[in-house]
Parts: sequence; structure tokens; C-alpha cells
Amino acid sequence: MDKRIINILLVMAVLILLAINIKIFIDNHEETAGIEQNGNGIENSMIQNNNQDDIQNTITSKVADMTERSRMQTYFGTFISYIEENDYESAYNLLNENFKKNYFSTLEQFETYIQKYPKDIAVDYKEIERQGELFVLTVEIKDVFNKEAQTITQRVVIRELGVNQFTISFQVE
Amino acid sequence: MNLNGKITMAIRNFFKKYGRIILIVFVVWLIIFLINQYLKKRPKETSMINTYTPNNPIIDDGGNVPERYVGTINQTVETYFNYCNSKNYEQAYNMLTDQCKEYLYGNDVSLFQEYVDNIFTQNKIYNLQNYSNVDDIYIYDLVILDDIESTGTTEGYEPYKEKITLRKENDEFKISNQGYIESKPYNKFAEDENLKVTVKSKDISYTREGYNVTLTNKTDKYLVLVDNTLNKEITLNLGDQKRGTVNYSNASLVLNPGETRNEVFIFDKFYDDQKEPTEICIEDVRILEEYEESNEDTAGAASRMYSYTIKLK
Repeated sequence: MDKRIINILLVMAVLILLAINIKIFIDNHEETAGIEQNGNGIENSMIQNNNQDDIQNTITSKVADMTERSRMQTYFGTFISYIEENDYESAYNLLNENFKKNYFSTLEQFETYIQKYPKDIAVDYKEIERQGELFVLTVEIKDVFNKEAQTITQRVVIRELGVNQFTISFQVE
Repeated sequence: MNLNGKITMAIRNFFKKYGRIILIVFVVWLIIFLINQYLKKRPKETSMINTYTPNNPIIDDGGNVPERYVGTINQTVETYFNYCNSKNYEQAYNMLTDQCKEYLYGNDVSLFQEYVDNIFTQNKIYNLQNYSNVDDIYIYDLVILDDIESTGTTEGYEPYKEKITLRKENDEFKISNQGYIESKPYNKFAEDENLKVTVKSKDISYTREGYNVTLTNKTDKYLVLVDNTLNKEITLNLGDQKRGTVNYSNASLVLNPGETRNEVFIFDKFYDDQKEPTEICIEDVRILEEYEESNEDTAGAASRMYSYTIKLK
């Protein structure tokens, strides 16, 4: 009887120790990885990266579940958001390469052109049509706070390369 | 044996007895743990809602393009388009069916060149959408437009659309463009004491059929077949309905005494509507002793008026 109880206790002890050891090993491993990356001047730790990956995966899933119309509006909305946040480089990087060559060979040229847009932008989507793998949107760009300001009507061409991956070109006036 | 000794002995015996089982359990658990970690970190495969199905017909009565032809057809159209875009007229022209060359361009490549130059005014792109399939004939919408990705539509946005047809001839796909599909011989004729009509052939486009007819006036009087004073003077019987010609709305068709003339009777008819024409009817043949263009009441002036039918089946 004593021997059986001792055996059961020993089995439980071994399993608990095993589980604790593994848990500690995994936690340590993740922390070490984060510290190593910080030590190399990389801003995001492994945990942060995981969170960012999770956020990115969530965004990707949400975009993938959208209809084509909603996806196109989301893509153009992303482009406009960059402009509103003065992140011109990110907006510029979304442009089609040939379009850039034709109209905005430098970021500065793009920045100069984009100044015609209002500071706080509202977008009205008037029309959307598909041309093969391209989408042509007709949009009205308005000033959120100034209804007197001139409305800019533009056609926008979007090519979807994958979920949440796209290039943009637009009617330059 | 004291307690320590007993415990040491028990531990030793325990591992001797259960060590292998514990090791197996541990290995199994480790494998499951690693698989879980892998699946968690694996990029999630996402698929999007996509309505673009260029190889599925919009009108699906005739079924889909066979899978084995899809790649070849797309490649054929791409080659043809690139020839047009780079103004290689001869090479593009040679990709057309012989009937198309003859019917649309009179076997003259310079007429095809005019067509190309009219549309390909600058570098163009295209998209293709299967529209309808009838037997071994595959009809597509070809949309030609400026390179709007490069221009952002700054230089305009006017897509040009036409129907093109692909069919296999001698193991390679040939193209009919501008909506034209094919021509068929049609040796049917009708004759009475006044009029002889021979239907020699018909030219078929996606939206229309043109019947090539020879008309002979066997009398020494005038035969008025069309002068737009009556409704639907020449009709095509499709079984459940009759359709009038579309090419005589502002023209008349009057045969002089003894005259033989070639004419084309054009009717609206979709190629894939599965309707079989049964007859052409000249609803009111009017026989007149005298005829003047200004005569607005040929029915009233006719010595005889009757309908004339040419059976097509």
C-alpha cells in the first residue's frame, strides 16, 4: 500500500516538474529573443512583433471577408489616411511605378501636388467599375469642415495584388 | 532501511518500471506542443471574394469554354492584341478567319490596318470576358482601353468594346472581330409568275443576320417590295415572332420591269438565342403599272397585292 502511494506521488511530481520546466523554458526563450532584438537596436520585441503580426492577420482577415467594393474603398481610404497624417512617403509608395514615372518622379513632386487636397478629407464614392483586374473608382474629395471648399472629382485606378496589397494611380489635374 | 533509503529505492524502482512510459508520454506531448506552435505561427491562408471570372460565360446557355482550350484562347488573344498594339498589321490580320477577312475587310489588309489605326491610337491594354459559347464557337467581350494604370485616366477614359469570336481551324484558334461570327451558304429559293427570290447565303454577327438574296422581277410591271408605307414589309419568321428588316427604314426596294438585283435583308437576331429562322416573308408585294418615288399610296395604286414567302427550312 505504501509503495503504491509513493509511486503515484512520484508520478505526479515528475509530471508537474516536467510541465513547469517546459513552461519556464518557453517563457525564458521568448524573453531572451526579445532582449536580444532590443540589444540590436530593433524597436519591437518579439512579443510586440507577435502582437503586430496578430493585428496584421486580423486586418487581413477582415479585408479578405469584404466585398470587392468595400475592399476598394478601404484601399483608397488607406491612401487618403496617409495623406491626412502627412505620411506622404507611405502614400507615394502605394502608387503604380509607371504612374510615378509619368507624373511624380520624386516624392517632392507628389507632396506638392497633394497640397491641393483639403487637410481633413471626406471621400464620396460615386462610381466603381471593373476593367479586368483593375478597378476604376470615381470619387469626390471634400473638405470635412468647409462645405464651401471646392470638391475635387477624380478617377482612381486600383490594382489588387493580394489581400490588403494594392497599387493606386489617379487622374492628375 | 531508513526512510531516505526507502524513497531512493522507490524512485529507482519507479523509473525502472515507468521510465519508458513517461518518456513516450513526454515525446508525444512535445510533438503536439511543437505542432501547435507551428500552426499558430503559420501565415493564415486567406481567400477573397472575387467576381472576376473571365473564362466563365455571362450567358451560360451554351456552357463553359472547355478547360483544355482556356489557356490557348487567352494566349491567342494576347498574341493578336500585341500584334495590333505594335502595329504588326499582317501578323494580326493572319490570325483572322478567312471568312472574317473577306466579309469585313474584302481580303484587303489595308482596310484592316485602318481599323487597327482607328482603335490603337496609343499603347493600349485589354481585358477579356467570355460572353457566350455555341457549339465550338467561343464568343468574348474584348475591352480595349488606354493604359489607365500608367495614366491614372488623366488622358481620358473611353473603353472600346467589341465582341470577338474564337473557333478552331486546322488545330489553331482563329479570330473573327468586330462582332462578326461567320457566313453560311444558304441555297434556298422561291418563285412565282411575278418574282423569283434566291437566298444565297447569310452573314452572321452576334446581334444580326444578313441574308444575301437575288431578286428577279419576271414581269413587265413594277414590283414594290418596300417603300416604308406599311409596317414590317419584309420579315424573318423565328417561330414565335416575326422581325422586320433593319436596313430599309429610310430606303425603298422597287424592282423595275425585268430587273434582277442583289440585296441584303438584315434582321436583328442574337446568335445564341437558340431560335431557328423558318422563313422570310415579303409581306406585301405590290404590282404597279406605273411607279413614281413620290407615290405614297402604292397599296392603293397596285393592280395586285399579295404576300410572298421564302421557306428557309
